[in-house]
Amino acid sequence: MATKTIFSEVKNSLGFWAILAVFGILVLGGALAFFYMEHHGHYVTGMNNQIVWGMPHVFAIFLIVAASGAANVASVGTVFGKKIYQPLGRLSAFMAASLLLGGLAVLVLDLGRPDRLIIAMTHYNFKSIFAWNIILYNGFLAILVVYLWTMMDRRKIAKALYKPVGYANFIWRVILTSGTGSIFGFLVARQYYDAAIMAPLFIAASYVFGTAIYSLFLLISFKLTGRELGDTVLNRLRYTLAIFIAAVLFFETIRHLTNLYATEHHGVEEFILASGSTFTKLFWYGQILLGSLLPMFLIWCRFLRNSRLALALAAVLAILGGLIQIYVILIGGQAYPLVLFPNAEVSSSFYEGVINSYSATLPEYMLGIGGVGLALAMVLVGIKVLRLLPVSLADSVVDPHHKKA
Amino acid sequence: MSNINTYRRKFLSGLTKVSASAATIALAPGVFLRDVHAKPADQPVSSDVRWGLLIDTNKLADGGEACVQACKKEHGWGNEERSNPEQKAQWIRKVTVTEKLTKHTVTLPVMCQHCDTPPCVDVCPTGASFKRADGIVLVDKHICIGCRYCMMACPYKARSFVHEELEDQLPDTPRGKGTVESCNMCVNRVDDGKNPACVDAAPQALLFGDLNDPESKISKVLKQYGGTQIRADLGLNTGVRYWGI
Amino acid sequence: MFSLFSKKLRAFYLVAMSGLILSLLVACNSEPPKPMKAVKQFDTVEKRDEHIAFMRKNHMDALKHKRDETMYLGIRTEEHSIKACINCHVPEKYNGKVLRHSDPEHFCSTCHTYVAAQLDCFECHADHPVTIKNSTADHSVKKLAEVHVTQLDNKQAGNKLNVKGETASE
Repeated sequence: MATKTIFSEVKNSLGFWAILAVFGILVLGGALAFFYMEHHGHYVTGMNNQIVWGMPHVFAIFLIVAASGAANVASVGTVFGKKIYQPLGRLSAFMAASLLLGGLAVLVLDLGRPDRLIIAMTHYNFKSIFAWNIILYNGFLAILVVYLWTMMDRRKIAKALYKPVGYANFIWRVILTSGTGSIFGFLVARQYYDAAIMAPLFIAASYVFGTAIYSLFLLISFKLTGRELGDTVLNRLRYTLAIFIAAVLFFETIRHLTNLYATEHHGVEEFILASGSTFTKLFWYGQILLGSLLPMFLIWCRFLRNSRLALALAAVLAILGGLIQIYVILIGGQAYPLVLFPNAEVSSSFYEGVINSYSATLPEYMLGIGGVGLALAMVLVGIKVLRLLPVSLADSVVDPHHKKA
Repeated sequence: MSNINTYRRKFLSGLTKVSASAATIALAPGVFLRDVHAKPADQPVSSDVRWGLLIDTNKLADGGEACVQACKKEHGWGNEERSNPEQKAQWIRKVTVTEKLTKHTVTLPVMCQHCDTPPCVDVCPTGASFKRADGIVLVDKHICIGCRYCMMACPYKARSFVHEELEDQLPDTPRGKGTVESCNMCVNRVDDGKNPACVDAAPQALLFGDLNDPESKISKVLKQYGGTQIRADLGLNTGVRYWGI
Repeated sequence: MFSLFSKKLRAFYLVAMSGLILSLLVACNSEPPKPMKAVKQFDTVEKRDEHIAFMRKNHMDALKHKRDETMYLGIRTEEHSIKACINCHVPEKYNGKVLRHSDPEHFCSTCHTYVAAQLDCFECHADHPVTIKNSTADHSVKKLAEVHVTQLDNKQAGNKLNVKGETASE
């Protein structure tokens, strides 16, 4: 019989403060980068009129998509009723909120006029999927707060709302991540976007990023705080990660196959998949090999069964592969020129018909990484101040059917 | 004085469309007055009018270079010192197109096409990118947050982002750091009853007028000879049409 | 026993604080600095005072709503034109140099710096009048000054039939 899970705050220790300080420095770097960019203008970045969204957006989109997936761990417990996941819910909800805030911070701070954020929050063009995303992100945060409350408060009302809010969270996330994918999917102008499949692709990707980050964080935090973490929980996370990676591969295959069928898209597909450009290498070696095939191997290989190192490595590779995937989609999609005149060679003073080049500058990296630092710093503060981490996730504690050996 | 009375007469006659013959006086063979008068400054624009541009690439000896220079002079873009060449603004550009099979080459000026259903308007989160009632697509830089989503969405790469602090802007063309801009069909000139600068720079090849008025010059020639849209397949019903592409 | 909060000391603190605040109030000059004289003056003092009173109360409101009318509806009367404000209030040259909003003597900056309210307008708008020679557009101060500011009769400016030749291209 599963006993009631006990949660506790992380204790004070030098190690804790040291790690928090590191993330704090990343945040500081991000803040400095923001002030520099905002003061001088975007000419200090590598972004230009051809590549309008760059490295900060890669990080921002990654974090936002990961946030949606991180909240999924809680959903499996609530919506799908898997009792083993339920103790993991608090950290899941909190981590989702932190990742989302980190990503949104980078996105907002990269705006040309970040001082006009209030305008963005009060003037809505409801035909714009971007405007919808603003509403969806804020709503997601609100739902996460309420969700966390239902998991942490012991009162009857909180317990009663646990399932309904859990369902709301799940459905909201499907809409939110579809919206994020549709930011690209709705763009008719660009050869690499303009596809309905962007929405489900992003949903599948969100589960990969979120589960990977969650697993990694669980492994590290339990190790460093000396809490027991059994194989039952880890294996659940491990195999779902592999299944989600397979799902991403499936959607990517369908997407590229469909594009390859249509002559119209041959140009961009050749550019991404076969031209030997940076994107080709990143796609095949980065996203497919390192980010998808190798993690699946590390997880499913019989020899590495139950290996924590293998899981940690798979998670890290999945995260890296995810960043590369976003990079290829975002930057690759912009590097390929707009086709104003099909079947023609074009040239102009505005870089018509040429593959656009992009190299991010230091402020962009600092801003993006600052967002990562912010998200992780928030989670760190959260596990210290709130009772998010279970005292133990040993097999005997979590598994209702655990038989004593 | 008589000009004002003419306008008032028209206005008071119930705003029915006066045929071009009343307003069009041939000064010389082949030279016509602008069909539509400047609207009074205190009157709002209306969708009775839809401004359009016709570009005859066959008549452009320089491929539109004069148009580009005129636009630059009128609005003051393109001289951003701190921006690299890929970051400098470009509202209108000359594009050289060579069809792969026939090897036929055309050079044409490309600017914001002032679509009827502009993708940039659809995607703008704040509504800063908007289409005015008379069809001119503009950026309201007061509420533009500089997210650049419209730049991602525009099929014609018409939009530019201002990457640096600007000084000494021209009074009729406000533009500033962190906002997005594009060809505004010289809206300040159009509202004043003038042609866009590019049209005046190449009057032999560019025609500006009211697409909603079947008696306007541009409507008549478009009806007779047609007019090609760039990326017509997107179904955006652009206000800028071309001959010879 | 001695206490920092004894009755005697509390009385002393009260007197000291009041004295400090009063002296600060007396020393501070709460009058805002006077902005520079406008380039173009009104005909009568009444009109001028009316304008000043109106602007003191309403200038931000006016700016914000009139700008939307200009942008979205294309209404371009003198009242709606920030160019008209600049042409009246900012000289073309001040002590030989061009006056920008970053200079403290600029008409708008005088008050805005004082109250530390950010001047966003001139991120985009020209902050001084511009006369361009041989330009197709007419930015000159002189042209605008010809329109009598009290009349605000834009029908005059708007109804000018522009006789521009337009070659038919066929």
